[in-house]
Amino acid sequence: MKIRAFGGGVLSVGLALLALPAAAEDEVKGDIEYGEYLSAECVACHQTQGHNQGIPQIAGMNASGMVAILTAYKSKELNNATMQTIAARLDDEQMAALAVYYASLPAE
Amino acid sequence: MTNFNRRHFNALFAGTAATGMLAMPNIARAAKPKVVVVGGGAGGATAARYLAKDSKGAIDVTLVEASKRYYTCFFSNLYLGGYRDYDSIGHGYEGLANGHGVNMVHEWASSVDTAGKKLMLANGASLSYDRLVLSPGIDIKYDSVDGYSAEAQSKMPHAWKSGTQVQLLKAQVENMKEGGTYVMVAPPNPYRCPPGPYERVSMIAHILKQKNPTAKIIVLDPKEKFSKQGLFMEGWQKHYPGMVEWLGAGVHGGIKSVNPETMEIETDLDTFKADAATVIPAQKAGSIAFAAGVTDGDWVPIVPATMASRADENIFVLGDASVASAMPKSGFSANSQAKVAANVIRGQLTDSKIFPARFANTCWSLISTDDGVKVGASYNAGEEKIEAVDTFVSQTDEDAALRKQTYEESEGWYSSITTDMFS
Repeated sequence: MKIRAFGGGVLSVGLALLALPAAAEDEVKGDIEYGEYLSAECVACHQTQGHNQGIPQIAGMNASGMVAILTAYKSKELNNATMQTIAARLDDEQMAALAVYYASLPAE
Repeated sequence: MTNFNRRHFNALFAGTAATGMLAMPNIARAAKPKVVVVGGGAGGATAARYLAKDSKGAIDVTLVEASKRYYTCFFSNLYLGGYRDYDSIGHGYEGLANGHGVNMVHEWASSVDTAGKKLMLANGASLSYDRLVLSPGIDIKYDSVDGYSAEAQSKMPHAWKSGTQVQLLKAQVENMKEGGTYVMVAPPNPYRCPPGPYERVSMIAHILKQKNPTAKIIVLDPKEKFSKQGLFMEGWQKHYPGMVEWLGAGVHGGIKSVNPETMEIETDLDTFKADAATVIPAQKAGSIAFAAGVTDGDWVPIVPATMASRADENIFVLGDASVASAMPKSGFSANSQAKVAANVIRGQLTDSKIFPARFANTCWSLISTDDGVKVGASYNAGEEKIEAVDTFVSQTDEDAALRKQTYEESEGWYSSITTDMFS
């Protein structure tokens, strides 16, 4: 499966995971409180509720999918410069914390 | 993490002992801890919102802001360029008051009794605090440009605070005579919004290209170079060929004076006659920072891990007024710093977990329709300074689809950050 992602890059990793509902048996384990704190950096651009133009919705995203996308930005397989910079300093624990927190939010 | 928390615990302990209170946990006190925030912009509104929202009522939060409606400085250039209605950059404080229980006080802050921990208001009232957050933005140093003054701002608006000054500038540019000249005197470093003057030039060029295509724009800059210079120069050449002339300090030799009556700007090189003009003088921290005694020179030195002022551990300073080292004076920076300060203050007052500071910034600029560029970075708190971890900037020669996407991203960001400040 190929998805044209934010930043114009083409990502062919296992993003089929994104199609799963957030509540599916997700393997990601993270500290949700830490994730909520870290999300303060995300919400400057990604609204928690509702859509906005030009910036993808991440609330309610499947946790494994979010880890895959952040990893792809970190390795620069995905192309948005802002997201590459944000992802560059996220370690595995932080990515998992964010993913678990966002998966816990309702998607709209 | 452990050292960080211990340091805070010690600082808190020392603070309470010094003021003669018993060193019992804050949470056990009869009254709720009080935080007073001054300034309802990107730093102050965000700090008030996060303190109230995350403490879930455990902290009494008051926001002191003279205006009932706040017009963002960011995106005011898009209003100038005709891409935004004025109303669309205005925001009220109902969300903070009704949604999060923030006490709104629409009044000017006049001074601070740091020993008694009280903020004095212009109407004579005072507000007691356990922690004070100052996010006053900038004041204009009128006398940094010879001939300029507070009175002169009606003739040559600086328009470097959002609101009526920006509306005035737009009217003056749109009413320029055919083939007239708009002159901008750009500010010296450091100043609010590093790419802002050059985005403003782009937006004014965009208006003139439609309404007054033989008009000219001259930028007299006290600097030798500026933010995103290559990107702006390329964009001006592409979209507004022959219209914009930028003269750095090495070319004009120094800005000697401005005369708002004759609309002349004198430099070593020449005297420039303007039909409309902007003078953006040097800047300094908003006056309450000076009244609080936390400034050093024109700005407020801060502790990078907390955003507390170096001079007073109970006074936190956010945004443009602070010396944030590698971080530019931007709304995005202030919003980012506010969340770090709110996390620390909440930890100090309610014993909630304090996480390590992390900061980010992105500054988008619009050059022409669907031609957006950006510069940004992530930052960590060093011992002495806030330090950049990773930086990026748009490239010259990018394809149109990417530039359009960057512009759309900026629109999305505006919607999100204002939600993060006011909802």
